[in-house]
Amino acid sequence: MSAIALTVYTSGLTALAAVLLGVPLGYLLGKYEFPGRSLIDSIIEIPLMIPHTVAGIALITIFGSAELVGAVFYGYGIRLTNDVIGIVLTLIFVSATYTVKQVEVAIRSLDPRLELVSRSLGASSTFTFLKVTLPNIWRSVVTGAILTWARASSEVGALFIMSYYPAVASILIWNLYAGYGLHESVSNGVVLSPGAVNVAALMIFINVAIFIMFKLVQRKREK
Amino acid sequence: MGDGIAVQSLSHTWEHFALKNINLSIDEGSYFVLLGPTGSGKTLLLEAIAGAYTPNEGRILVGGQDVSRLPPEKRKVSYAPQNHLLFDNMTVRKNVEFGLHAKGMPEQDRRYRSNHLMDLLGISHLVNRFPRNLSGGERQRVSLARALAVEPRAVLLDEPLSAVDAETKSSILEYLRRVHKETGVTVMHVTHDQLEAASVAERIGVMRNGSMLEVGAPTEFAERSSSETGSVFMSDNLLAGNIIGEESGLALIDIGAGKIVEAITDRAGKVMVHVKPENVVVSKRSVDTSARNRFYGTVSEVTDLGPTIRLRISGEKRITAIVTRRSFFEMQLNIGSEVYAFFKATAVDVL
Repeated sequence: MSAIALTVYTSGLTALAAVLLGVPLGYLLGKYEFPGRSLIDSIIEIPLMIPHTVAGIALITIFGSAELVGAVFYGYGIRLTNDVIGIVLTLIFVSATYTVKQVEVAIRSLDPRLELVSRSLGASSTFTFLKVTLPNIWRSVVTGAILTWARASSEVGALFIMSYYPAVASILIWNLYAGYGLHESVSNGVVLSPGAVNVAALMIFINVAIFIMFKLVQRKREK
Repeated sequence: MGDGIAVQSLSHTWEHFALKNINLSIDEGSYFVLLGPTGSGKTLLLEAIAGAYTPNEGRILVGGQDVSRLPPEKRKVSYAPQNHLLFDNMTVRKNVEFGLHAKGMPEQDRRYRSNHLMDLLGISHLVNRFPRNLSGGERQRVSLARALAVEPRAVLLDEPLSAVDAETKSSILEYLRRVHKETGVTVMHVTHDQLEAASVAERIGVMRNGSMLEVGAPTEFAERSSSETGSVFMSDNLLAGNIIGEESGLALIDIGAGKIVEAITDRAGKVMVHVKPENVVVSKRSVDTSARNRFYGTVSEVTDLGPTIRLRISGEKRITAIVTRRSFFEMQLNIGSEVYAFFKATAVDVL
């Protein structure tokens, strides 16, 4: 059960981080043309293109305790692998793309004259963003966050490499299946495994619930 | 009178288009119309003044202050874009009060100012509606009220009469005249419609291919339209006149050269009159008809339009008529033919 709670928690943090990073980045990419824009766009799309074990290897060569960035944090007693931080870092890398892309597309489809009207009326760029832009793109932000959440909760490949422990649900299911088979395993009255199939069913239920939420938001967006 | 808006040697280049060395001076408190076909660069010039981008070269002054490098919110120039773009997530009142809210004006003061403007524009009954529930004409008036609420130095109107029907168009034109008279704000209005320009402008600037070709009063353009040299920019049969009296319900409009045009209107003073060329009847003899207006001249130009033929008739004033090909040949018309041109008082649009 704690693995499922950890999954919900880390996926939620990932979705939140994706919104905080993805909204400004998506806005920048959707609104402005600047040198290097295509390069940034491509880098953001890379996690969708590469196998996630490869993504895990890439991340651990940067954030591993003896590696470039990881060593600096480790010096302060902070581990970036095999910890909640490591899980969230990994999940952001593999799933924040969905939020950035949703926001980027929403900004591109927003009439740029709306912001010009607002600012010509004396509104600052911040006031304009909060009162004019955000109300027009919030459904895309929510959709992006839900997609990120759903993708993060199902990640396994990159986590195998970056943060095997503490185990999130997807890793737990693999461990239970590999160690005890599909079904519940009990020995001398002691439950050795709740059964990979049972944990998987619970995860299916949670992910279907997320999918239904996504559909509801999408339907409202289409209206 | 000082400059409301001045554009000095403005140039800007995009990949496929350029604004070329634009110079323009609009008097403070005047109504200026920027006229030109689609793709002539009118909207791009308007957006440069609004602050959408910084031009490669040149300066923009508003009320004497160089605003070329200022962000839009510091220019005190309200922009009302084409298709009366409103904030769809806000009610009419919130739209109108948007700029005042952004400036932190207390609610009571906001209410006072927005109520006055909404009364002036006839939208007081719409305060709690959302833009999706408004007609094109209503949206336009809300857009105008929103632009005026912040008491800007100038208002930029991009095609304010697009996407509204003919009846609404004339009512909005009347609102524009009234608002301009009451507020005295400098207005820069962009349109491709020559009659629209002639009906509200104090001065007109004509743009084509990113260049400012001519600037002048509507009467100057109309004079050229009715002279032998002609102006390719203004409509046929657009005449400047002055209403000098009324007789049996018909206004008598002096259009110069001793000619009076009779028309139906409740306007007074200086006006522009327009007659569609297809409403002009041509005859080789002066015949008695019910048409109140008659001009005499000679055919100076013949243009084959396929099933119809356009005649320029030069005389006291230059009149353009469109006749069918069959009439043209049956009447044996040609360049130099002496003809009479008739049109009814009801066919005269007073702008």
